Order: sequence, then C-alpha cells, then structure tokens
Amino acid sequence: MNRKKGDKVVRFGPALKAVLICVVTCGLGLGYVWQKQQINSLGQQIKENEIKLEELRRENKRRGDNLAYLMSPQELDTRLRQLNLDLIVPRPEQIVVLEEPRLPVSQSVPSARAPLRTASR
Amino acid sequence: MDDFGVSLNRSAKRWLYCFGVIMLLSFSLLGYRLVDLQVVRHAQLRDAARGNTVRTIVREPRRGNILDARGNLLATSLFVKTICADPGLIGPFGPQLAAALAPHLEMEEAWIASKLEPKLFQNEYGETRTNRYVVLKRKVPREKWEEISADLKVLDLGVEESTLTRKQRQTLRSVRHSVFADREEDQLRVYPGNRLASHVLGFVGGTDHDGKEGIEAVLDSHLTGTRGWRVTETDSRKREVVSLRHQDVAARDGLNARLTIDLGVQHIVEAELDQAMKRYQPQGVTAVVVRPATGEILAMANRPDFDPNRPGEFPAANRRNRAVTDTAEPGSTFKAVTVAGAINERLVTLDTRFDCEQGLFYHGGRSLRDHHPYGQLSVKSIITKSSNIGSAKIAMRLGEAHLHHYIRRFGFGERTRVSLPGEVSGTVHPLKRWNKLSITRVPMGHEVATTPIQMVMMASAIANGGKLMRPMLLRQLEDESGRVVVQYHPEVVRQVVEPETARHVTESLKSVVGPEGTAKRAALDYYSVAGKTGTAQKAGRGGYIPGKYYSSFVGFFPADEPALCIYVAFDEPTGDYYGGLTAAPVFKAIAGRVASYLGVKPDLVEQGSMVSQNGGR
Repeated sequence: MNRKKGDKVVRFGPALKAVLICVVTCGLGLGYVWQKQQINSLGQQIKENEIKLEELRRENKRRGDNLAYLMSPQELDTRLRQLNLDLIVPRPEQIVVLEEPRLPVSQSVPSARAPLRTASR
Repeated sequence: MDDFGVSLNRSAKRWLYCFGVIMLLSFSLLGYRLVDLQVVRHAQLRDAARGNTVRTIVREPRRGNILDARGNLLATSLFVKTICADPGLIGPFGPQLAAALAPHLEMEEAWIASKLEPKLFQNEYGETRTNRYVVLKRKVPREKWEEISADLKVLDLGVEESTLTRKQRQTLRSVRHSVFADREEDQLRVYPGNRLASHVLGFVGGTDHDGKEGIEAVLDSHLTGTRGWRVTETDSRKREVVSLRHQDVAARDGLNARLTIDLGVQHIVEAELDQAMKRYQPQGVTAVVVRPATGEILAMANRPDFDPNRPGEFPAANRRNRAVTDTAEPGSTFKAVTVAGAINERLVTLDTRFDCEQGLFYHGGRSLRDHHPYGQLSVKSIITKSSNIGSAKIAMRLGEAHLHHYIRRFGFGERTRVSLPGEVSGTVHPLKRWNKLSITRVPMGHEVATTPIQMVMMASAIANGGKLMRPMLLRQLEDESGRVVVQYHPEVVRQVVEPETARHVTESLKSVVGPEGTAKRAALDYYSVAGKTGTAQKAGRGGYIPGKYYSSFVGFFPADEPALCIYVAFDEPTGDYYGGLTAAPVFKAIAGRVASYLGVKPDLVEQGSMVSQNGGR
C-alpha cells in the first residue's frame, strides 16, 4: 500500500483469506465437536444395546431353564397324575415299529459340525 | 530535572529489579512444583488420576451347563446379586428399611435391623469410624433385586418430603440408596431335578463356585470358562464413556457337558429305589444301568441321597457315591467270573458235572456249605442253584493262578476309570497272600471286595461277547452355540474271554431267572434275562457280622442281544435279605419300565402281535 499516495482502495484478498481461515477454523472446530458428539451418542447407543442384549440373553436363559424344568420327567410325571388322563405305557405286543426307508448314500446329509477333538472317556 | 530523572530511573530500575526477582522466584517455585508433579510424583499422581476415571471391570464367565444324553438340563448357573447396605447412611431409618426388606429377603426383620445399625470402630490411625459395608444376603436372583430396588425407591420413610429442605431431601435419597447390590455378580448353581442324579452331578461350593463332587468336580476346569475384562473410563456420574474403552475382552463361558445319563431312565431308577428303601429299609441301596456294547452309563443312583441345591443340609454319608466309593464282598454274583475263566480255559463245559457233596464239603480243614444239599450238578446247574461247593470245585480245577488272572482281567482290583471322583479299586489280594482256603472262598465272592461299578462292568463284559468296556459317563463337550468341542467314544479295555465263552456263560445265567433258579423274581414278561444273585454276609472287625447282609443282583436283557445291563445292591436290607428276594424284584421293576421307555425290542413276544391278531387297534 502506498501511504503517500493516500490509496484508500480496500484489498479484498487478505480479508478474504482471513475470513476463509476463520471459516475453516470454525468449521474444523464445529466438525470436531460434531464428530465427538456423534462418537458419544454412538457410544451411548452401544451401551444401551449391550444392556438390551444382555437382558434378552437373560430372558432367553430364564425361559430355557423354565422349559427344561417343565419337560423334566418328574414334572411330566406329576402333571400326568394331576390331569388324571389314565395314560399307561403300551405293552410291547401293542407297539408296531415301522422301519423308515433308507436314503441312498448320496442323499444322506453329512453331519454339519464335526467335533474339534475326540477322546475316550 | 536531570537529578530527578536520574533518581526516578534508579528507583524504577530498583523496582524493576525487585519485580524481576519476585517473578524469577515465583517461576522457580512454579517450576519446582511442575517438576514435583510431573517428574517426582508422576507415577503416583498418574495412578490417582487414572483411578478417578479409569475402571477395570472383570467379566465373569457363566459356568457351563450339564445336560443328559437327550439334552435335558441337569445343572445350570444363574448370575445373582449380593445385597449389601451402608449403615453409615441409614441413620434412624433402619427399622423402616428392615421392614421393607424382610419379606423380599425372607429373613427376620429384627436380624436385618440389627445389621443395619451403624457400628463404630477405630481404624489403624485411631480415628473413630462407622462401618460402611454389611452383607445382608448372598445369591439373590437378579429379578428379586430389581423388585427390592423398585420398592426402595418409593419406600415411605414416615417423613413428609415436601416440607424438607433440599439438603434433607438429599439425605433421604441417600437412605434409599444405602441398600445396594454388590457390583461383582455371583453365580448360583441350580439343579432343576433337585435330587435326581445328585451323586453323578455332585455340587459346587466355596467362594470360587468350583466343583466339589461328581461331574462338577471332574469337569471343573472345562465348566468354569475364562474370565474377560473391560478397561474403560467413566464420567463424573460414574457412567461409562463407551468411546473411551481401552480394552474389551469378552468372557468365554464354560463348556456344556453332555452326559450319557438319560434323565428318563434315571427318574425310573430313582423312583424304584425310593420304593425299595421304604420296603426293605436298608442302610443303602445302589443301582447302575449300563449299555453293555458301549459302556455308557444311563443311570446311576444311590440311597440315601442329597439335594445338590442344598448340599450342606445333608450328612456327608448321603453325599457319598456308593457306586464307586464303597466296596463289599460281592457274594455269588462273582461265580460268573469263576465259570467264565474255567470255560475259557476249556477245562469245563456247561455240561461238566461236579459232586456237590450233599451240601457239606471239607477243604483245608474247614467246611464249606450250600444252602441246600446237592449231589451231582452240571456247571450250568451250579450257576442256576448258586452252589458254593460246585463253584469251589470249578475253581480248584481252574487253579489259583488262572482264577486270579481272570479276576484281574475282568477289572477287579483296579479302578474302572469312570469319570467320577473318589473311585476305589476294591480288594483283590495278590496270589502270594492267598491261603489254602482262598481257592474255595474267592470263587463265591468272599475274600474280595468290589464296587458296584466293577460288578456291572463285569456283567456287561459277558453280555458284550467278552469285551470289557470302560464305563462311559461323558458323551461330549459343547460350546455355548452347541458346537461339539470334544467328542468321547466308547473304549474297549480288553477282550477278557472269548465270545463263545461269553455266550456259554450267558446261557448259564439265563437259567438263574428260570423256575429252578435263585432269581425267579427277576424274570421279565417280554424279555429273556440273564443274571446272577448275590448274598454276602457283611464283614466287620473280627469276622462276619451276624444278621447283616449285602444283597445284589446283576442282569442283562434281552439275554442273547443285550441292550441293557442293570446292577442293584442292598446294604443291610431288613426282613428278606437274599439277593433273589430283594434286589431281583427291583431289577425287574427297573428293567420293565426302562425297556418300555427306551423301546427295547422284546425277544419273547413279537412287537405288534396284538395289532396283527386283532386286525387293528
């Protein structure tokens, strides 16, 4: 700038640069905050889902245990006596055993999961 | 002006100098403090800072389930809470809290109130402090704790809260939070079948929740699993900041163990043993059901028994698995070993006849008696009628060395290596310790001590064409998704006798349940049975104890194609004491019901014959 000539022309270049730097800095700052907020929010969601999953697992376990109890022989025995259905065990001469036709070897389903280790016990 | 200017300059310089010194001193002090904090006490302060925010949470693995052969649940674990309180926060509200907690915890209100009373003590610095932690109840299910927690939130403490100041309301809130659940969860082992298969399953105990008896003890390392952990940071309200998790290693739950035990068979066996206990009132009774071809144990039960959910409430004797820990002289069931050895050595056949001396035989200066006087008896009849003299004479023909050899070959005098703790090997004296009477006493099951598991495996070997199997209690280990991790297979211990010999012995054992035999009450309607009774006087200090017997029956069916082998033994039955009168009927009851449950194909009647005769149902 030539002060002696009293040149009062505004030079937009540096101002624009300054504004740009401010905008970029603010943008980066806001972006950083937004990103942090997103991370925090996702963290909370993860936590909530973990708690939910744990609760579902627990409920599944509780129901599984309940089912196991209801299917136990002593429980079935007790229920049979309570319901008084007059169910008796059939005698062998009353039982007809039907043999299922065997599948050809090629159609037989291989065992889905082979054991990792075998041992004798 | 100059003088004034010079003096001002000097004064300013002096002040500047002083200021500079003060600043230097201040910065030196700050620098020292900085070095002290950042260098000298760095480690200590870093730990303190981390301690305020960083939390390490141990993630406990769930103990694996125990399942029966069909996948029915035998044992499982639940995460439970330990209910604690901070008496320092409770103040005068102890009685109200105790009244609210008592019905939930099923404990006496007065006891809870006394626990909630603050107790003063002096710490190591001599300061007076209040206790801040008391355990009210352990092993409380999570659902129960949620109920307690909800009730405490709305508990009426007898104070009108709207009239209170903010600080007083905070105090009341802390009273409600003074009862809490410990952060570390405990586990509760649950056995849904209660007493069912208690001796096989065992139980867990101690603070580490480790297996103490049975399968729980044997498979403890597999069932326990591996701990995980989480290193994370918390905010000022102690809430986890998930984004600041440093480490997160999931716990690996214990493996599930699938046994060969069939819950249905076990239930039948235990129901029959309960009836037998009522009828014969013995000191104890044991039954084992085995698949002879594989050695799989389908059921193993003893009376008296215990509830593994509450093992401490039963005497130690009830927790003993008599099938593997107790030995007794087996009596006449042991004659099968003698006959098998003699036939295998081709020294006798089933038709070889022996003179049974009309019931009284002297050997080594001592008499040997039969229950009834017999003359000439074939080997088959000796088994049928359970002649002591006949079996002694067979053993004398076999010779001491051979007899001892076959006893050991059948697995007596050594552990069967069943997957249960506390198994004993029994007693088979070495040949050099045999006296001149041994050759007449050992063949009828005296001078030897065996366990029930050894006896049932011996009979299974005969049923299995002479192949002795290792008793199998474990089928496989699975992970939580059901994937098989370890598969166990039947294991042949050795071929004890030739298949032809086993067939001949089976033939003779079939006659035992016939009209001439000692175990008529073991005969089944639809299946041929081969078996042997045993009645032995119990040995004590100074000889045999009069009036105290060990009665047993071991048998398998269908005799020619055995599906199941069952051993039943009574320790000191009252009233009837012969194996044929006590153990044989229990065998029959168990065998009949189990055969029907498992759908064992009958060999004495054709399946569906009634349907075909009637042309319909």
